[in-house]
Amino acid sequence: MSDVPRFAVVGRVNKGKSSIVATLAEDDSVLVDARPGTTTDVREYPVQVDGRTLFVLIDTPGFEDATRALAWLKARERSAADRPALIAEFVAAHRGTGDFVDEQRLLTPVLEGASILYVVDATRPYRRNYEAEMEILRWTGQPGMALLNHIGQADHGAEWHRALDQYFKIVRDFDAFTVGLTARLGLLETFRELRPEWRAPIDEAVAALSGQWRRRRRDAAAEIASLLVDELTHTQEAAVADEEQLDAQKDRLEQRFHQALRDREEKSRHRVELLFAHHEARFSDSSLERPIFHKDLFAEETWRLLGLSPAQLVTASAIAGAAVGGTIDAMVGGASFMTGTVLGGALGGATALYSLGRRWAQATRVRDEGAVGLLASLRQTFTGGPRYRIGPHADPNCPWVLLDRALLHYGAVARRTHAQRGETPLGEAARAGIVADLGAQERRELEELFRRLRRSHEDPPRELLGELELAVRRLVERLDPAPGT
Amino acid sequence: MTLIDLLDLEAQLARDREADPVTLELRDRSLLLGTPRGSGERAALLHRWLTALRQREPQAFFPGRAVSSAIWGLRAVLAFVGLALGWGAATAVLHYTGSDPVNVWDFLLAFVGLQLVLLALLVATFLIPMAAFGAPFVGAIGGLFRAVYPRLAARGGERPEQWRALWHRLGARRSLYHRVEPWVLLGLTQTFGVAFNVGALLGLARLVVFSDIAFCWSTTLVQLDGPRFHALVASLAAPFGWAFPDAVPSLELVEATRFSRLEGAYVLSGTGRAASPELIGGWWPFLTAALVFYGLLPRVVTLGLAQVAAWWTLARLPLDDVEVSRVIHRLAEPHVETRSSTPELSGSLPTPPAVLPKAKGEVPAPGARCAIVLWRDIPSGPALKAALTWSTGGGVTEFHSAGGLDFEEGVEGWHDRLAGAARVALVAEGWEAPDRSVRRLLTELRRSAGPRSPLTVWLVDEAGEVVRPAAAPQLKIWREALGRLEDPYLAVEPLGGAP
Repeated sequence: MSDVPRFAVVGRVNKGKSSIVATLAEDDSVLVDARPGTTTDVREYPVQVDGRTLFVLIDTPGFEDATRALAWLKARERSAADRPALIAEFVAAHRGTGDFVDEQRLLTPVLEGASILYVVDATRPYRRNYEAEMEILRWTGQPGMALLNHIGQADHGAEWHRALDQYFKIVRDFDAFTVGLTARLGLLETFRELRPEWRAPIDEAVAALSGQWRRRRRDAAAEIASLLVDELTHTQEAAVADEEQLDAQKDRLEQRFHQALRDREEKSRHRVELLFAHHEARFSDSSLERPIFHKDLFAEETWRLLGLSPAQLVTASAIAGAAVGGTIDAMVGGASFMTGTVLGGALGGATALYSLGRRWAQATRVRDEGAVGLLASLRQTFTGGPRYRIGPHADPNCPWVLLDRALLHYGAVARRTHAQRGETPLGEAARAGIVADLGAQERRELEELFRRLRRSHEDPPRELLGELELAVRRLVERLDPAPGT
Repeated sequence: MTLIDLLDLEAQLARDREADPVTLELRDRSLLLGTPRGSGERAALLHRWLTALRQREPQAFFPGRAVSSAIWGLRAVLAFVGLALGWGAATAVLHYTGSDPVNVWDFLLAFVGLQLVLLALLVATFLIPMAAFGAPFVGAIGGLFRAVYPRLAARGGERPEQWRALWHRLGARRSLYHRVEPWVLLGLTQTFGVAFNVGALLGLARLVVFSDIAFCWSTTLVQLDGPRFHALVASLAAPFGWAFPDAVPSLELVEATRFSRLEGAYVLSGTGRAASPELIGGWWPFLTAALVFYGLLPRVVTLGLAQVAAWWTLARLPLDDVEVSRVIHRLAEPHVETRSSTPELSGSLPTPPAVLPKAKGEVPAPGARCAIVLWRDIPSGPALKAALTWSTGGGVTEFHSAGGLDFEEGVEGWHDRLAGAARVALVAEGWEAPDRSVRRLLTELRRSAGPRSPLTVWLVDEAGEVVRPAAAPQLKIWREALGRLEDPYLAVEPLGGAP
């Protein structure tokens, strides 16, 4: 028997064995399909930490003729003690005959010492013929547990439990399509109960997988913060040589600017998906369901449903302005009688009110003042025309919409299991947005960060990036509380 | 962290920006295989990583060494130019044809006064602002470098685009490294300053050793007499006079070397031999010491300061920004791999054959004798029997079962059991897979029933108290799977409940 724990995932054809393996191994290359015969070979999924294999999941083809196989075995049964040997005899007797091909394949790893994970579909009724499979597995003498997968809507779990409890020491429900990290790790912890001597590697694997998830979450937060910085500081500039084509050139510049923002967001999403091992090909084929965030970044609906409401925006800006004014009041020791706070609040609120509803940024002519302006004018004589600049995007809701979309996308990606193919059910992600539910204090802090970011858009200080990343990390952690945090 | 590592790190981060994080993790962990996790500081870890990357991908763009070489090359050029200019300036200022002696004022203004002014400017615009704000007030050299770089990048050999991209990237991340650049540029300018003063010293030494120079001093100011001028030069010599007493001009020397252009002679000692050559050449120790102390030494100190500050700043870079942290996490934290290392051997989903066509042959007349085979323990309750009776027009005469738990090998004598049946139907639940065993059964049924006998697979969704027909996707799957039997008289149909 190998020292490395091995778990063979076995069961009837099309009962979700590969789905469970795909979810546990986070491998979206596993073929999962409603058609039978998708898995025709044994495929191993070693869970490795720094190259050391801690345990191995083995996906197997399904039982196709268990009742006939059991009949063969029963016809040759000598005693209970000989049953494992008889199973080996069965495999050997049919090798190369073309008969019981799948049974041979699925029983081989079990005979080599793998523990059994027997998978059934709890959304379909129990039928007696399943006892043939369970009986054969029992005859192998290997420890095993049963997993009730939930492929559809109906629930026949109770009758399955009554039957499975008679054959397996451990029976667990496991929905490979919606299960979260906690449940996945919980299932792995259950594996320890099959063989006490496998406890240490399983524990190490669980710890490593928890750490990996936290790292993904941290990296995703960093990615979202980086997206916000790039989007909020993005500017474009172009010289318009021909004054007669001024409007067309401005339009082109504006289109290019907005497209650059879209592209950056798409890139960020792709990277978050990769962090969670959701590879592009799978998503392009099956199109991740994105409730609001699949709409265009600048779609009216996006801006209406995501981000903060106008009242929240004005309030957040007013509070941020008041905080700045309050600092001045504090610096003069209160001699200003809170004038700074009042004026700062009014100014912040008024600015937000004035800028509201500008989904599209507009190009404006570059007019530098003083000596710089003089130099710019001189440069224009060589470059051949006035220069127009667009960005950073001025709407106060822009960072909130971006953040909302990024968080919604993160939530959908983190929740999506690797067994899912096609569209992800809407579920919790169907709600409009996340940032609107933030507390006033948190909104104020974020608003202040966004303002500082925009002010220093030419060279945002790294401290600011760090603060933003930490703020986003807090949001992501709340959205996706991983075990051990 | 060295400048080479820093530049290579940025180039590598730019390359990795678009890459799949899983691939990067695999690559990086394999690069540092055998290195204990979490060992060493960030800079040391990054250095090991970059070294391994350079060895593994020698063709990749690693600009650190090239930039470092360029800086050293530029430094050598500046040193050479400084030496030449210093030599030339000293030779010009100390030019003596034997007629009018060399005025020490000229030397002091050019090599002490001007350098002190430049040093004061450096302190005021660079050193103090750097200490206070972390950035110099005037970035003329930096501005010049930024203006020249794009042109240099355009000549960047085979990789002008990569050089340009590196520049933009460094600009975008300037806030992370903005304290490094001024010290590097200061090091360049101070190399020139040191070389200039060394050149001047060498020029002075050459003239003193290999020619005779007569020094003098003169003034229009009546008040500036010998004792006062002596006091001035003595105060200039004070910082080094204690170490080099010979470098402090004596009052006798000062008095003896006051020169009158009106007379064309030293005021006290006249001209020619009478002028005491041992005195009139006696200024050189003071001038040499002044050049060393006020010219060379400050430049050496600022050069050393620039080098140390650049090293110190590089060594103390926090390297905790988002992108670098990502690399550190990849390198230091355990790498977890769960995906299969082997490709899916099944290759792809089985290619569905042409979906089972509509069955050929005549539909048996209602009431014709029909043998029903119940597949895999399907509950044969009243609802199912009613549905079958209705579907066959009352022709159901017998029920058989197959595929269930009660299977007994060798008892499927289907030929005898189906004898006389005008039609054979298999009833199955659609959610069961049309697997190898059902195909085997259908093959046997065909063999027993005859090649043209109608064979029907009726699918129900879930047999129970109510019988519902199988859903369209289940029908499709069964039709595709049974299409492989290539049986033109085999039909797969949904079985609904009796009305």
